[in-house]
Amino acid sequence: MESADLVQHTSRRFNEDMERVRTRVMEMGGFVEQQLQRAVTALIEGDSALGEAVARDDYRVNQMEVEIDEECGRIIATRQPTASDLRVMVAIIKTITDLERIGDEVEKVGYIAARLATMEKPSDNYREIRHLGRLVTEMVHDALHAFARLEADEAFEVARRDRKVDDEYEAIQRQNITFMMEDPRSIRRALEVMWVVRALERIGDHAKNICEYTVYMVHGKDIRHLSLEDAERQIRDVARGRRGG
Amino acid sequence: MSQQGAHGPGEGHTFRPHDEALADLRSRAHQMGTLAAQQVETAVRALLTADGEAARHVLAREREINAQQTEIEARIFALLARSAPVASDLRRVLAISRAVTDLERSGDEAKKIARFALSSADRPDGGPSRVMHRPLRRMAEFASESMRVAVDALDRGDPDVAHEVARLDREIDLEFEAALRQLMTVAMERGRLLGPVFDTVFALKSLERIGDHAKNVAEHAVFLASGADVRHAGRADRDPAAADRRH
Repeated sequence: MESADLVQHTSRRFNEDMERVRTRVMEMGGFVEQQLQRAVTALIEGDSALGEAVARDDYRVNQMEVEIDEECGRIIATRQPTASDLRVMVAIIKTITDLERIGDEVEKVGYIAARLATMEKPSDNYREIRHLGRLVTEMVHDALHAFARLEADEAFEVARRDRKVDDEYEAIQRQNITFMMEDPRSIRRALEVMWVVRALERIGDHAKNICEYTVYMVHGKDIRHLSLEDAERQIRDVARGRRGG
Repeated sequence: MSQQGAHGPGEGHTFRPHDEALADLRSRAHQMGTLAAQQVETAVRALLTADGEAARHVLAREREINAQQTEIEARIFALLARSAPVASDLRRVLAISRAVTDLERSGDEAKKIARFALSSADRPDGGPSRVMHRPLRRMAEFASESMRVAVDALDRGDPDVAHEVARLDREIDLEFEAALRQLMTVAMERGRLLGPVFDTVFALKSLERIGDHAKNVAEHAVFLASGADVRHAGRADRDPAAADRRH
């Protein structure tokens, strides 16, 4: 028990376990990202087969979540990680929950894309959705990047972009209402578009959550219910306090 | 490394140092869940009676729910780090940890409904159409009921109510689909007042999500009791026609 060898041995095994789990999280993230891109493409190109394929493939995301989750439970039970290692485990468990939810939102977009493919396209060819889709896809990508490299500053930067996503979301919904008033025949399509925009907005929220877990992992601070400004200020204060001694 | 192994994990007769902490977690989760169920009821009542005061009350209590989540998670973390529970104790801790996320998200949805209630309270025609009152009320009843049932089940570690909660969730979904169809007609007729129609769609959607969260909590109770993960079971081979109705 007291043997330093044994402690080292245990921690090395823990590190190996953790590396394996982190790799799987990144695989899951990569797949979710790809799903998101395919869903937006299916919508814009009016490709119903692609939309259906995206929806169908969501089961793989679910599978990965369950597997990683079980693996984390096993590691916590058998390796009994120290506080800072445990923080990483918690962040991973939370991250995969959000990735799974992103998968669910993408699945919806897939189904809707398949349905919309049978309707007439709007004159702007979903320009706004394309834009919002790009913003959100980049957010997911960069959030995972920050997560993988434990980059808290990058995570803050990505989290801040969620405001832009929210603004875009509001603007598109307002525009959508105008379209519907001008042309009641477009209501069916406009309602479908509304769900897509809503799903994309939620994906932005989930990407922001992942950024918050990265900050938690790096700084040990739970910033979820703080404003980003307050969170950053508090973390800087702590860092300054440490440096000042 | 820890002392737990010697006791035969999960036997429950020997006093373990984290028993108290576990009991404390249970009661906190139950309290948070009860609050989440209340929030749904109050938010929808505020919406249907144009009661701005009640809506503000929901918004204030939402901060309380968030604080409860933070507190519970901090305690879970301390428990895991200090006493490394295993077997059924670990399952309970993990189940509570997941449930808390669902409860917080359910609280978030109630908050959105309360915001709609607040913004429409002092505006004539700003709220949901008359025909939407009944579906909103019924969905709120189903949602808060299933949340209560699920939270009780989690507390008792009772896997048997999962079916009941799933049944309530289907009721909510049916009600949701019917309301949406009806709302299309309202949208066509209302012409200039589409803003409140949109807000109503989102309120209905929030209630539908709360039903999903309740179902998740019930699944965490099953996980707690059996160790089996029932999430996503049967989802992969979902009937595409049924899935088509999803939004």
